[in-house]
Amino acid sequence: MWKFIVRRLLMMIPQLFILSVLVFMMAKAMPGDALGGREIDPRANPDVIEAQREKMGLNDPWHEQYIRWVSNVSKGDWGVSYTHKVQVTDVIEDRIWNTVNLALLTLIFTYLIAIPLGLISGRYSDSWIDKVITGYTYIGFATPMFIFAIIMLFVFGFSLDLFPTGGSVNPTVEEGTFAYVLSKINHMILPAFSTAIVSTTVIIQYLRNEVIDNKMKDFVRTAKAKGVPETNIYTHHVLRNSFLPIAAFLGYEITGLVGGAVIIETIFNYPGIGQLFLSSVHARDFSVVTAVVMMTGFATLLGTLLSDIILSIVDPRIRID
Amino acid sequence: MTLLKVEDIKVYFPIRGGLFHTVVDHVRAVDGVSFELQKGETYGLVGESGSGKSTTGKAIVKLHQVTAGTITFQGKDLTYLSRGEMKPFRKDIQMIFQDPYSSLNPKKRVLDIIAEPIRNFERVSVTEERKIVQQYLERVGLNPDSIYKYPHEFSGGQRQRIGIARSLTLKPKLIIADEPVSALDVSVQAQVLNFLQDLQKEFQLTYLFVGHDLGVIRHMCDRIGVMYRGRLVEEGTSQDIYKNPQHIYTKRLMAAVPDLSPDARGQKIGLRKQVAEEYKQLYSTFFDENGRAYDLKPISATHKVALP
Amino acid sequence: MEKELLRVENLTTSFCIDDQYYAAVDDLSFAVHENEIVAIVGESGCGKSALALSIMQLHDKKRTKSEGSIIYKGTNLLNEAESKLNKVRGRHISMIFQEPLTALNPLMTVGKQIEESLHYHTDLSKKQQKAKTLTLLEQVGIPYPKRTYKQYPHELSGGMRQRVMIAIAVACSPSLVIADEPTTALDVTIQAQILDLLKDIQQKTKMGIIFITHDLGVVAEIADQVIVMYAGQIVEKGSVKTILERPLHPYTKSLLHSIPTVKKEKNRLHVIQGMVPSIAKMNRSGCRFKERIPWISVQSHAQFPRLHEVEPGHFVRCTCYKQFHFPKEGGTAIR
Ligand SMILES: Nc1ncnc2c1ncn2[C@@H]1O[C@H](COP(=O)(O)OP(=O)(O)O)[C@@H](O)[C@H]1O
Ligand SMILES: Nc1ncnc2c1ncn2[C@@H]1O[C@H](COP(=O)(O)OP(=O)(O)O)[C@@H](O)[C@H]1O
Ligand code: SF4
Ligand SMILES: [Mg+2]
Ligand SMILES: [Mg+2]
Repeated sequence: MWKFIVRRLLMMIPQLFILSVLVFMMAKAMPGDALGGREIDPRANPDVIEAQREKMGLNDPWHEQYIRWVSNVSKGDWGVSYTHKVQVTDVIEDRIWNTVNLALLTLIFTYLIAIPLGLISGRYSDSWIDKVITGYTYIGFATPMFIFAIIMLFVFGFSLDLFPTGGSVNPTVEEGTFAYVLSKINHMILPAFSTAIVSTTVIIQYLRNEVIDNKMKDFVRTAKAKGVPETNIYTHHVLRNSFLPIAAFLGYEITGLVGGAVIIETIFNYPGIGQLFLSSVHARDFSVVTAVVMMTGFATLLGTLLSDIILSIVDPRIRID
Repeated sequence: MTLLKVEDIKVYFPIRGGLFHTVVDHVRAVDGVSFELQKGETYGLVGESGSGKSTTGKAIVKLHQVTAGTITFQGKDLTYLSRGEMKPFRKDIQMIFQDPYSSLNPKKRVLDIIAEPIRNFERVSVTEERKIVQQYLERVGLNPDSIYKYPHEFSGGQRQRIGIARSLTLKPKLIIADEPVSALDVSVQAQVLNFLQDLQKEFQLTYLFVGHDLGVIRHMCDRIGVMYRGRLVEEGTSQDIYKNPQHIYTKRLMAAVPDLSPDARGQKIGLRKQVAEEYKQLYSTFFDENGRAYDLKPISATHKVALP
Repeated sequence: MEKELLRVENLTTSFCIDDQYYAAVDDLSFAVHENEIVAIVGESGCGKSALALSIMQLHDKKRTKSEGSIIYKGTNLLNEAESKLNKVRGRHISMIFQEPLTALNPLMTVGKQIEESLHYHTDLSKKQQKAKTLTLLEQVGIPYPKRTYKQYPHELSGGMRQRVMIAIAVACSPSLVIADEPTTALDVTIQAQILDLLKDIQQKTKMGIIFITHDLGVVAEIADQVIVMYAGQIVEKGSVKTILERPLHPYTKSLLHSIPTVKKEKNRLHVIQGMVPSIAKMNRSGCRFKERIPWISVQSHAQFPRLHEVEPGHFVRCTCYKQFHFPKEGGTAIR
């Protein structure tokens, strides 16, 4: 197993390299750069700007700039955020836990909804309850997430005033107290639930199909022939086998969440990585954008690796070495 | 006349492992096999699954590259020919596969399936092509009007005959039949076997017949090679193998074949026990320290056995 | 005569295809006794598996109808509730399937799958269950029971898997085992081992076996009684010697003439023309086999052949078997 992980991690190096080149070029190709109007007074003498650019190495050939950037990054120096005027790592550190917590809660909601609904829908396929659940998944499929999120925000946030409509914590509570934790969770519930209620539909459908597939399998018939009662057949045989692909999905789900964070955090005005990304793009905050993209890229690769590892743990037929 | 000569061929498949997925070992699927096919005869390869029968057949039609050894067809060494150089011979050697359900492309019409080899090797007009296909369909006992049907519209035996029709269109000299009836019911099996015999007479075909059913092999083959773990352990005429088996593996195989007379039952169980015992005791006499069978040694004009 | 274990009477099992029910098992009656192996033979599609699954009642109830009676220990299993049936399945009647790879749960260790039977039908403790499972594995000829106990099905060879299936089936010492083509997917050498094993267990425990196969060689090896099925019906029934040495029904004769055996050399094989009709297209009036022996004149066929006893213990569903002969061309002489 460790051999597999090491091999996969090694394989990530060229992948990350290609990603970094792409990110770097893309950032460079963005109209204007961070110096375009911020660091220096726009009315300043163009010669002064030019001198400044020269000094910062922004006129060097791109590959020299790239190498400089990479060597800095490998030392943990992602540069300074032009908008926040602090180290990029500090900006990200402020936000990342918000995003990770939100992602975790979203995952928990997603599976809490998907597992019972998928199983019921699969076990009692073609019954009225299955039709209701499948109907819901179709709606979830067809509706873009942001519409759902905005409706949720409007209803539960503004109209009913049950949940906060922005931020990640009530600024009046003291850090480290229990109330602080509660407030954090309270701020996450609405965005997490809004994401989960949509993203879960894919998993419900997946699980439903798996259950339907598995309940027709020969080994289920064998279990019946052993005298295993129907309910136990589901809990002992169908369930575990149906979870296989779902478990594998977990890794990809994480990838999806990272992408979804941009929309959700913006709508709920939640200070996480996604929101940071969007605002940095607006501000042409080159160093933050590249750092976030690289991080997400890395998370995606880790997510796929995680999927493979989980799969190999739950499925004895898959051996990775 | 010798049509095909296989000399000491080996087909090894790499087993990968380790940190960088390097080749750590090999599956010795075929590990030094030699035999000759005379024109017009049927040579049978028997053995349990995994003994390397299919791999041998596929190596001859170059679906697998041999690791070592030579394959000579009509006096010409085919072993290391390129695809282009192989072309004239690919017409002469055709293969029929086991599973009539998966070996035909379900999305293609019978016409396209049967005409495929002609299209690859010859230039004929569309009407000419259709005529040829219909003629072969008729020859294999199917309605010539069914050229526009799809494989799923046929039964197992009919599909197997479509596969046979396809392999016949180029007028091959040698047909390698890899368990052509293993997936079929006895009644259909009888039909296909009879039919293969008729074709042999009509087109002077030579068969390499791969199978694991000893009844079928006996019925079809003039000479038989018994394979075990990628090696031939015994070779001889039908008589030699069935009436006078010499290698312990062959004996075990023969003892396992069910007998149609219920009276022989007790005796059969006894025989199997005895042979199993013998197998244990004589294992080191018949296999070397690596569990590999020895090279074949002639014990009569027609009969060869793997002995030390 | 040994004690009767199971009696099937006028069993008809129909499947729903496009809102219509068609019988795949059609008015079948037979009995299995203690210490007896009853073989059921026929080409594929004759209804052998449908019969086996009907006895176990493993068919999808929504699309299947079973009528008649299946009497086990004085009760008709067809009238029993699912909870009662679960007490019978695996405990009194168990089943071995054809394809041991798919019939075993790929994600459960072999040991757990055997223990499952013990769990539902005995009150052995966990420890005792494990001990019993190891004994069972040894009994079915698994060379390293301790290791195999922890293995998954895909880690075993086909023969070993089928031994595991047998261990599952005999775990609770059932009085009847239904084996549906248990050796069809195996090599001859392995087949011989499995047949010997089954026979061995059967002789020790005196259980009854319903052995389904399409291979008459296997029948000769293992059966006491033989039932030949065609198109959902019994066409001939008798002792193994009777059926193999003095068959009367044209179908049985045709089957026997179509197998290539190691005894006979290159003779011509008899081909049974056509194929087993599908249940939806089957012509249910008159003899169902007549389409496949077109050279026999229409007049010689009975309108509705009944299964009748032609000699003690030998039943044939054919009134005019005496006139039957094989066609001249390619046919072999009648026995
Ligand atoms: N493409 C392949 N790659 C790796 N191993 C193979 C391949 N084809 C066959 N083998 C192995 O070679 C051995 C012989 O296989 P095969 O020739 O198919 O046997 P047979 O036809 O006698 O059943 C088996 O152990 C099989 O697993
Ligand atoms: N679940 C089912 N639904 C519809 N038809 C079925 C079903 N199971 C079997 N059949 C049909 O019943 C007939 C008998 O099938 P089966 O019992 O599987 O035959 P055998 O086991 O003798 O090969 C076949 O024509 C088959 O197509
Ligand atoms: S002789 Fe008549 S009853 Fe007998 S099998 Fe033929 S058609 Fe059926
Ligand atoms: Mg093969
Ligand atoms: Mg069947």
